[in-house]
Amino acid sequence: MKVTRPTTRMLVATFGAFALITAACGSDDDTADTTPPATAAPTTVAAADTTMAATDTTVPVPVTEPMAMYEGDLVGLFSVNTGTCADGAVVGSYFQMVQPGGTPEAGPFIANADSKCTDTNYTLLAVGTDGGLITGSSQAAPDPAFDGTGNGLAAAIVAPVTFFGSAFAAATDPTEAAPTITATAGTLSGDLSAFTAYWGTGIFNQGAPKPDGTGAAPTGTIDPETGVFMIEWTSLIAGGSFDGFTGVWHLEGTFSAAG
Amino acid sequence: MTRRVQRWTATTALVVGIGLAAAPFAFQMFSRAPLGGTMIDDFEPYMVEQKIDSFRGYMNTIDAAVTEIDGVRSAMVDNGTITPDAFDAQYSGVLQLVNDWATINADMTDLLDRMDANMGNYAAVAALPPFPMFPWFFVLPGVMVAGVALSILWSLRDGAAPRRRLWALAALGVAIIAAPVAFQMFTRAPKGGEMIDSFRPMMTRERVQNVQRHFVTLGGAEGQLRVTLMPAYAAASGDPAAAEGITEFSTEWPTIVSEFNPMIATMSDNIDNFQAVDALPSFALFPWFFAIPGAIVAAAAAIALRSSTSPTQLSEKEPS
Repeated sequence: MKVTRPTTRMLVATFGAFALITAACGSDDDTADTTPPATAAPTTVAAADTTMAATDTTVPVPVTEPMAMYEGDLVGLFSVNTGTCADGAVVGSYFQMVQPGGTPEAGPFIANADSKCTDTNYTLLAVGTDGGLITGSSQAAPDPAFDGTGNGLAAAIVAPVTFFGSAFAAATDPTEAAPTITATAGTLSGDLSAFTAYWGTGIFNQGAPKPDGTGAAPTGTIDPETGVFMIEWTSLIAGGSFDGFTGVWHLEGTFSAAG
Repeated sequence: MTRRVQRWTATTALVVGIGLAAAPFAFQMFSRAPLGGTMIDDFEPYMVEQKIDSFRGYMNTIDAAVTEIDGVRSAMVDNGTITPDAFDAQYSGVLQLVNDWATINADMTDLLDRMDANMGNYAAVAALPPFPMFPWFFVLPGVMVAGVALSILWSLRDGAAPRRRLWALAALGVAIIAAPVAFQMFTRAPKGGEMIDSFRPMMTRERVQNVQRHFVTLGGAEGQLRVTLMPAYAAASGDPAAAEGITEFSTEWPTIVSEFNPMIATMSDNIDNFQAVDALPSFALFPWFFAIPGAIVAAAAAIALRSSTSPTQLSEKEPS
């Protein structure tokens, strides 16, 4: 498990709070509730307990602000909420492909008749066998990466989804830098240059930035307390059968730290 | 007189040798020739009759499907399931295929025809020595000719008789003439030129982007046929099984994708390679780039040898 610097700070704060409670109450009754695992999430509980303990004993301990648990390098699982379409609105994770000369905002997009949405420009993504995107390590495609008819087989991040009649899959290429995502005051950035799509026997880098450093990095948001995130990026396809097309990726879900 | 002829021969050979050695640099062959080799390698899977035939088969499959679409539309309109305008709006992807099919078919068939017509030319070029070696075929003999020529000039300065070196020069000249003959370049290189000329219209960014658009049209239509139109046709009491062409199109589509996708990728990824090769001098000229310099060197050496007498006589007649 990788313990990040913010997590360490929070642990110190938690133990400090625990010591304060012990000193104030002179009792060990709350020990089981306030001993957190070494993850960020229980730290919030500990902060809440601090307030309760202060109330019970009328000791004037100031109410602490909820601490930002998800800050700095986020190493772990960015779980993927399966995309859905309801009343014309797309919720959750999806993919779009912009035709050459278009823009991610306005298209034109490639319509995917296999889309579950009324607006077939959206291809919904469903959670994969790993639960989503893992940072800090790679989720390589299987070898071979395709079945006999060119369907992509990588299924760890998102489940293969039919796109243009053939299964479209995603993985992170282990020969590139392992994915990293960093949170700064609720804003996400990072390096997803290893992100790769597999379709119709073709392999398409869909990284952000691209492995050569060109292109924009992913952007997104995260709730510092709950880990609910949204991250999106665009990636121009360079070379191959879709040379000049641009992939638009949008993932939503909840982050959980490794370990 | 003899020494003057020998000096003239050596000087001529030196110029030819330097010219040969410099040619690859002038033509940027060190960067362009390997790109040509990459292109030849990448096209290998597609330059076989069986592959071209399978692509033609896919075009026939799609053609049959497109032909049936009008019947499906008419049936649904005639039985009141949908109005013509609503059909065209609801199945716009299918309509686009119907409207564009003649263009797509002509364009794709032209590509296949060009590839088919150049099977023999491709085989001839592929049988040439590896492209990355091409520049060295100029540099190495050029350096050798220049080196021998320099040694002749040097020996003449010292008053020595360069008869053996003249023989070496003559042999080099003959070898340079023989090289294109040995590699059958007089027959193969012009075929390479024909292939380059034939591929030129299809190996452009614009043409590849057209093919990409065709692919998008085909994929969009196939999906709409399979996911929405044919189920709607069945619901409207149509018989999808009777539309064998459409059924076959959808059945074969994943295979078509997996076959066409890498071919389009090969075209797209080799545009720069093709342009690099196209920027080289015409393939048909290549054997003459060896034969002419080789003939000049051999002829000059022969003249010098013929005009010279024995080394002893030479030394006696023309002391330094």
